[in-house]
Amino acid sequence: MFQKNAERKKKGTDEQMIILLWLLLALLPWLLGAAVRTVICRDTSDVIHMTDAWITGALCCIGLAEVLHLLGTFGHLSLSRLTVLWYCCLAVLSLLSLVLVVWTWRRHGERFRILPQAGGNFVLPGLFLLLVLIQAVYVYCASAITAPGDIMVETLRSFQATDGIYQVNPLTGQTYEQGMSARYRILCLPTLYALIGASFPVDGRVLVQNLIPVVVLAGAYMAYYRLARLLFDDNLRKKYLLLILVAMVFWCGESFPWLDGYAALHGAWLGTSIRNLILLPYALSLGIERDLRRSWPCMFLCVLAEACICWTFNGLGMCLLLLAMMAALNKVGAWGFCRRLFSRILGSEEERP
Amino acid sequence: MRELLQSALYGPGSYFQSNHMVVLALGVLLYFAVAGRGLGARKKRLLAVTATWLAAVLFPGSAVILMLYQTRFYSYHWIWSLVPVTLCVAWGGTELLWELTGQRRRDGRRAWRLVGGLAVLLALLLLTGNLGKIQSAEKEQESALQAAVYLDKLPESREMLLWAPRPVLEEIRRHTGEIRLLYGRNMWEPEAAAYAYDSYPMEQQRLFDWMETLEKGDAYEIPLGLKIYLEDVAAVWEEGRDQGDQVLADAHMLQLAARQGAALWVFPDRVTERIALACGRMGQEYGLRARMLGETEGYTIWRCE
Repeated sequence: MFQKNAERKKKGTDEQMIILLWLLLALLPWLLGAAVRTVICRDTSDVIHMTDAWITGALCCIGLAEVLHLLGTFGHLSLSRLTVLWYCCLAVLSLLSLVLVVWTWRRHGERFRILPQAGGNFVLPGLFLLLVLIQAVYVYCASAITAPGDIMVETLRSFQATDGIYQVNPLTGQTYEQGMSARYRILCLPTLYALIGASFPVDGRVLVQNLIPVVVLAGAYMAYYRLARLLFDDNLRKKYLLLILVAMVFWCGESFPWLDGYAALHGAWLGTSIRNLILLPYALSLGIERDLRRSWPCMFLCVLAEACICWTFNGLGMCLLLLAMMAALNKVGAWGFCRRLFSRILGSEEERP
Repeated sequence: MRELLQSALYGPGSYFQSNHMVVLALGVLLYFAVAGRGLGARKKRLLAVTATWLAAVLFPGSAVILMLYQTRFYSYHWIWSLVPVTLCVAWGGTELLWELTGQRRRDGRRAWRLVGGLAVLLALLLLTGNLGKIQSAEKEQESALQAAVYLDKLPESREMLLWAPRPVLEEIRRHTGEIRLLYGRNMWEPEAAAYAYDSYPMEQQRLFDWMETLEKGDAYEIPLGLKIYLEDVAAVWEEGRDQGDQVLADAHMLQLAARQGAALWVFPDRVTERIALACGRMGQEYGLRARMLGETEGYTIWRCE
């Protein structure tokens, strides 16, 4: 009886911890991102959308984790010390961000948009939320499938067991004989998960394979919502229709690791999944927006974040290539001949805001 | 370079097998190129970037450059990450549904038309998608997890290297970071081996091959190298090719594992008798003793002293 009560109590504590974890993973990046965007857009009266702020904040968190990861890898700081540093950095940054956001909010409250604009009915948003909820439950409950080459959980376990970064080979637990690839060594996702895991008494495997994917899935829809906002301006029904179709594409194309559906539903903790689901759509939206004066810091963050979480060509990843290609296309499109050609094919409507 | 070119040539077909939605994306591009007059500047940009990347990944020359850029760590299929297929399909679907279901007309039936359109589009996505092809080896994982939990509770597991079948080795490092293995996933998975420069000595590769033959049984063809090695080993002490040969060969492999530092062993439960015989012979030939510590569903756990 006592044991049953203890188990029930532990389960309840775990569930509370999971809810607290999600709440913090939703609030902290938003707060950091809102502060960063307030600084970036200080000279304008642009609205700071919740989705933009969260993605920017998440990129900042990856940056912070990378700094700590490098300290652990090359400075040989233990994981417990890094955790203390992580707490301190987050506390200071959150406090600064809070002051900045509250100050701006009190002066220009209309600049922060937490919820999408009013208008339209509830059918399409309701359907979209239902689809996302089903996907979130699926991701949270499903037993994970390990993609070829995915050693995230093993790496996290080895960090926790040795209280250090890459002290042993994650796949065997033995010390390295010939060493490991330096390019791989600097990727920070395992450290980020270890730092999050150290803050909450949640099993490392559940954290990586079930809890983080829900957050990444939410991030993906935020990136796609940003794209929908840019494509359809104020047409709320079209925006939700696009998101519903994105959700349907995720469901229907999920069988191979390089597909977005697989990334969203089976391997969202991987660096390549975060890149394909959040960074690339976000970079695409920045490129489409073509407002270089305000969006270059976010583009820079995107490129850096990819270099920190994915094995790239000396740090030059897909986001940089995408942005460079979009810049080149803009230049080419500005030439007289190309402009005439494009207007012949696609019509000659002037640029909309 | 030749390999890269081959991947770039045959890659599109292989990618198409994995994702038929490319056809939908091509259809969307074609639709907007033909009927998309009057698109806004942002939509034009999206269209241009999608078309450019699509051409770049389909054309072998540019595909090779992209593959070199993304590093050889990734296969051809990963360069398709640059093509916003999901967005293109969703955007085209939205515009198409909007137009075909007459959402501008504000009558009482537009919601029903939209639901019908969504259902048709869902059917199309299901036809072009590849839902439910992922197979999870849950049963195998379950018994491997049981073995991992059992091993985690053993005090011996912290002191000595573990030698076990592939599913147990895979599961154990995901379950705990405390237990050290004789060899890990980087032995049989090239993708996992790419992270470190370490390689395994020939003895450990023989041990892995031998464990594979135990685990997979008669359905598995013994690698030629191991076959020759075992014949050599058995021929040293015994003449002829009877049961005694196999017991001696098994005993040799067990003592080889012990000499490599692995004194904690896991074997499939259906070969328990064979292992018991080999352990007896190992004691006679090499002076090493082994005893069974326990068993879980599908596996037996042994310790060499």
